[in-house]
Amino acid sequence: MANLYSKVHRLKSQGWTWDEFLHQISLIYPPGIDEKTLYGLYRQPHRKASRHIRQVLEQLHDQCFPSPFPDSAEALISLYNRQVNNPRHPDLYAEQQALSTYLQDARQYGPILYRARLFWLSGNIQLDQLGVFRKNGKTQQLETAQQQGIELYQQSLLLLEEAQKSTDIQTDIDAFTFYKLRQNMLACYLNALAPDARSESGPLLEYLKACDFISATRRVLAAEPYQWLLARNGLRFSSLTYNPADCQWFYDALCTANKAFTDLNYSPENTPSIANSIEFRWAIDNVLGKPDP
Amino acid sequence: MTLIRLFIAFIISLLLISCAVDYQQERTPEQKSQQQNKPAASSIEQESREAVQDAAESALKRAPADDDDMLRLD
Repeated sequence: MANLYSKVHRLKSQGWTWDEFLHQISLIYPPGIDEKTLYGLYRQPHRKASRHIRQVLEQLHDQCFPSPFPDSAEALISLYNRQVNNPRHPDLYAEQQALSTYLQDARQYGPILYRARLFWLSGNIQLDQLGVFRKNGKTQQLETAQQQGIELYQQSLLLLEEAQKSTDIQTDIDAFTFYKLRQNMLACYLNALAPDARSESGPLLEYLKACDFISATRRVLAAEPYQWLLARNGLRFSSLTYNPADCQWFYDALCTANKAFTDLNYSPENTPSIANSIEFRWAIDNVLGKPDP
Repeated sequence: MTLIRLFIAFIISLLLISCAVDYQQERTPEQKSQQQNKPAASSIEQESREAVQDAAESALKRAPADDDDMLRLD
């Protein structure tokens, strides 16, 4: 899902002045956008943009940081995301089933990066259904979606690794792309579980260790310290694994990403506050809630 | 007695409507002159209003998040 705060920061961190940033926007959208709106999106993770402003900024981001995947696959992902993000969608499940059926065939053909992205999209569909199945007590469907999601992401990962090794592929696949894919696999393990069962799941904790998530997240944050969502996930898993040193590290990283997170009740876009999430309870009780020595 | 009450209510309604019309007439020329002074800002203002509207809409539509699921990354 698009995190506009991070995209605006990534664009700004190229060394652009605000005037240059606004000029680049005006090249895409001649009337430009209000500079106060742009500052607001830069400063506040909870700040929401209008659909149009989001579209302009995402277009600029994609121009400056092009995806390694073919445009046709990216267009399909965008199309699907618009369906998922439409709260008034009359029958999202039917759309997901239809698209899954199409992808089952489509991902067998075409260039390797195209196929990798279609496997990725197929995994997204399964991941998006986990919360719905879990909340409705559909245990069998939940298990199937989780297993399929992991397998589909795994297939995507294998194709990406193959493409990385291939000398024919000109596009460089960056480390963050691999990180995102592994993060989504981890999400398949996590989101299938009820929140109060997440600290006791063997398969989740095994995969967490196997994918080296904590170290990988630290590396991404060293390069892009404004990625609050990643710092928050690092804190989440440090809390679930009862690791006080990592809890402190990721909490500091979260506050570095934006000082608003010093308030544990702060709730950014699409995310509940840390104080309201049971997964952070251990960190709050044992690390964050304690006064400094 | 009821007729008198109805008549009083009618008069009060007329007064309120009259006040509202006067207020609207006073504001319109001001708004027009402001727009004339800042023609380049109109699209920006429209964007800002759109942003506020979108924010208000999504806040109303979204149910309070009870579970903290991981968001996928594309």
